[in-house]
Amino acid sequence: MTRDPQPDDAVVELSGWFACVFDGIEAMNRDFTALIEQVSTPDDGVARLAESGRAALRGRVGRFLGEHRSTDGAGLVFARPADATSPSAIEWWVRGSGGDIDRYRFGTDPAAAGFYEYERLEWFVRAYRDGRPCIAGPYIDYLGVDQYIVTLTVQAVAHGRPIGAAGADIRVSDLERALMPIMRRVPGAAAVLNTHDAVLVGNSSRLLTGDRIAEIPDGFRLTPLPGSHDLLRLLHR
Amino acid sequence: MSDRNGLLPALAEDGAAANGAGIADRLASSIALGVFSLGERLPTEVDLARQFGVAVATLRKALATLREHGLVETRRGRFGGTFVVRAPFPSDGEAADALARAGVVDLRDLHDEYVAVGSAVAGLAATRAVASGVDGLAEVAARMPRARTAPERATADSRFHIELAVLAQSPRLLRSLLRLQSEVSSLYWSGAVTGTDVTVAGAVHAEHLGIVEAVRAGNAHRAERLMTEHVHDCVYRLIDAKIALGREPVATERSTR
Repeated sequence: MTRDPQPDDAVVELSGWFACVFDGIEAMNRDFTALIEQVSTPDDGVARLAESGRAALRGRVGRFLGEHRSTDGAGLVFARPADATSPSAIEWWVRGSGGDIDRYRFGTDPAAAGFYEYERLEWFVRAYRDGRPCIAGPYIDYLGVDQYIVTLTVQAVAHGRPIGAAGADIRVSDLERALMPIMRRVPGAAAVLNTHDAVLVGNSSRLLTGDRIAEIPDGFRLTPLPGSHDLLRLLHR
Repeated sequence: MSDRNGLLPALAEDGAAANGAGIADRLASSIALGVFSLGERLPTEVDLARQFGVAVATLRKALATLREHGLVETRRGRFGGTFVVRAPFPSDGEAADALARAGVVDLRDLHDEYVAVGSAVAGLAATRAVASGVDGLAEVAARMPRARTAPERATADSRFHIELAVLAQSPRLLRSLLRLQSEVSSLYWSGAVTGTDVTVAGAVHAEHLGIVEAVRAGNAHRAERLMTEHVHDCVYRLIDAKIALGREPVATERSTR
């Protein structure tokens, strides 16, 4: 006997989807710690940590991107060096053409016009400074990867201290492709909301990606998605 | 065409005939679906041939077919080239395929741009149009209820928006609007979206008349607001049709950035 689809089914599936991505990021991040510690000393600055770890990190990111097909890029963004004029250290790779991965060149020179100022961005602050997992976006990563994306991050650690944020980007269009089949099975209008009540993906023109749902519409309720570290909720009837 | 960053990108159908007729068909559906807009100059024969992976001679045959059907015109001289002069109407299947290829977020972005351009056009038309211009607009609006077929309704709809942009007197906004109309109009009126719903044309006509009256009254704010609602109604219908279709776009090969 079959039963009608229930919002609970979607909650389980959506929650599991985000849990899978976070599990992948957390496993990659643990390996980052080990890989960096093998080739550095506790006294090394971020530039040294980044450079010495690069080759090993690249291989690990390649494995992550291979296992998580919806992600577009991944890596480790180091905390800014204490000297404000020093360049940033960012070890980040994106899918290239033909299945390869390419190291992404960010504007790391603070004196240059294209400098990528990430220190105040949510995905960095929450992961690096607060030590909590983060799902940021949807947002246009201007001067970053210049795409409309969602970013998932966790705190990166080496030699017992926070060194930056490790994580992955998912293009909003890829997130939609992955989640819409689940969303379509929810009876009635529904949307996944982020911590700012903005829609990540919705199954109706009333609930469009990026729109903030300031008030819960009449007849709707919110159910947390535990696999997202309770960062996301499903808005549904 | 996969390098075109439009709503309706690659139309390269697998297994389509790579002869003159096959390429002509694919070019015609690109035009029908707004990948190439009305008035737009096509890429050079060499570039098009490369995109389709055929010899330049084959591509020339395809362009000759399109010329015979009155879809494109080739002009010589400094500003010469091959230009799109008429858009064919897509079949239900072509329109459904195009909707399947677009993501909801792409359609939302199309909506956002259309709201920006459309409301500015309506506001400027209300500020700048003289009485005779508004009469002309009303005359164009009256073509919608007389349209008997989906392609006629698509043409009547586009004509209204283009006339409004003409009254706004901004060549840049007119170009943006032509491109947006090419992307939206034939999809909207196709069987895949409005289908056989005869009430849609009546509702669209009523909205057009509301805009005409706001323009006649010189009420820019009202014209902007009505146009914004008009664009909402149109693109939200596209989005819900897309979701109801139940087909996700296939992942595209990452281009180098």
